[in-house]
Amino acid sequence: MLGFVGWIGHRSLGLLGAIGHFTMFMGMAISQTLMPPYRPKRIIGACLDLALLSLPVVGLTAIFSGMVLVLQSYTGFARFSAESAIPQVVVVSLTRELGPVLAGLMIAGRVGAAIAAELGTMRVSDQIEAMQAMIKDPISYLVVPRLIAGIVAMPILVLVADTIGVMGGYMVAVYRLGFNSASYLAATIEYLEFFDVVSGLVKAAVFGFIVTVVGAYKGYYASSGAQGVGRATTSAVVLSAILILISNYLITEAFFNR
Amino acid sequence: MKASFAQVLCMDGAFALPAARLRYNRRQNASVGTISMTDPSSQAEELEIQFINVSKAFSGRSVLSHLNLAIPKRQSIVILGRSGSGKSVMLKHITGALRPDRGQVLVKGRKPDRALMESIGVLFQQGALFDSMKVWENITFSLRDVEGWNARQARDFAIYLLEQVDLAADVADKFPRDLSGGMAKRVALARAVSTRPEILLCDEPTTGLDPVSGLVIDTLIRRLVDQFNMTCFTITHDLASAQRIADRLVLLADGRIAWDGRPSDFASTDNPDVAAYRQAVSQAHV
Repeated sequence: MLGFVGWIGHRSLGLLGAIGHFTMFMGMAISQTLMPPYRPKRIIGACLDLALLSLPVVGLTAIFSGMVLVLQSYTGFARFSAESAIPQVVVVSLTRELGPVLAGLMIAGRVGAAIAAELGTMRVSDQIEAMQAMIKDPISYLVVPRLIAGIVAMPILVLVADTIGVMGGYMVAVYRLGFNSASYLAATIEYLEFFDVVSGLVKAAVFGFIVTVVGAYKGYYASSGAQGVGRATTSAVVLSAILILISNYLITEAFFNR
Repeated sequence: MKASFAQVLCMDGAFALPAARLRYNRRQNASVGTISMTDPSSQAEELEIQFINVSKAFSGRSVLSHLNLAIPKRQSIVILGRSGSGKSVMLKHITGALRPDRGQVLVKGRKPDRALMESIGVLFQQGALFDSMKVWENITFSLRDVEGWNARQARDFAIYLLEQVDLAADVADKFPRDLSGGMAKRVALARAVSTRPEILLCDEPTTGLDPVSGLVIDTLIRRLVDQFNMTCFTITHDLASAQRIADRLVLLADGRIAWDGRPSDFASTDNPDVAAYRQAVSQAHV
């Protein structure tokens, strides 16, 4: 019994230590973000990598989500003759929820994993240590540009993904289910509120921050060679996904009733 | 005759920049005049690196035990020892990555810190070149912000340093993945001396290299150390390499100094630790 309690205590202390370590890393990264040098070229490069190169996969996810959403909504709403609500449901679901969450999860898999793998490889091959020896702060050079890109580029990516998703829904509604094109678009625009878009973009910025900071943290402290880099990459994706889902609920709760 | 590193820094307007000139002048002033070896205060000033009664343990296992070592300026010292003897731990104490449990490590008379790293160049075991950067960007990585060079100036300077390690100018535009192990190590050496450090730390410089490449690296290290008047601290388990680089050899065993002397005396000493090491080396070769 005492052993079990000891085990619980040991694990709890380990968990608290890990949270503290992660929080310290996050604090260092945020404080470095506010301090020069600002490295605009690296920030732009990271933005392009995150937004532009992720657009095909995120766009594909969005368009098929929009299409499926219309079909599923139609199946349900047709049972009580509420098909006319489909445009509103689709646009609100996509902008407030599905757009940012699906994009966040896809970015965690594509960008978060890449950040963890790159920094992890740099760590195990002494490149980060070399950078420190050259009096360059690795966090400022390697983490900050990606962090800024996550916060800035992710909302832009989600905005594009929302538009693509809505257009996917429109195509299925009009060409497969026979909705009137003009009425569908009018209903979509009429019921979409500014705050729906804003709340989605706030989520996107938070998810962008989570994905980049978690990927960077896991990679930065990777160890034990190739196996360690693999572990860092996997846990970066898993932890990012979990944090995205938890923070999604918290942000939704904060914005609830608005 | 090749121009010296410092001459190149100053003769070309492009390189005659304040920080570079300041570093060069500081080095030049430091080497002017003679220091009396009988004056204790001067002697203390002459020491570049000191380990004073240093002990370090990890998870209860002692790695360094009451270690004392004083390294004068411009000496090339090689720490020999088997794996786990504490060589890397010594090196990490010099860079400030580790702190001693007891005793103290002094570099240029003070505890290692970030500012001190300006005067230290490090040659890492695997080179540790940045994969995403070209060779010239690697070499000038720590200089561009400081010196305010544009890309052309930085690349020209990198090419000069590549010449110092016997590499052709076209290597400057390659990526580390395009280099052989020996070439990558030479680029890493060029990067390590790019800031004109006063102290060069070499971590297993010949590990992973074939004997010929190892010989080339040792020769280059020795040449650059002499050319730029650096203090060189090398850790290795390669006896042949140590003999080529060292002014002074130290054998580390079980976290203590087992033998300290001239490389030429290493083969003839009857010290039991040295004999055991020599035997282990010869068995490894067989």
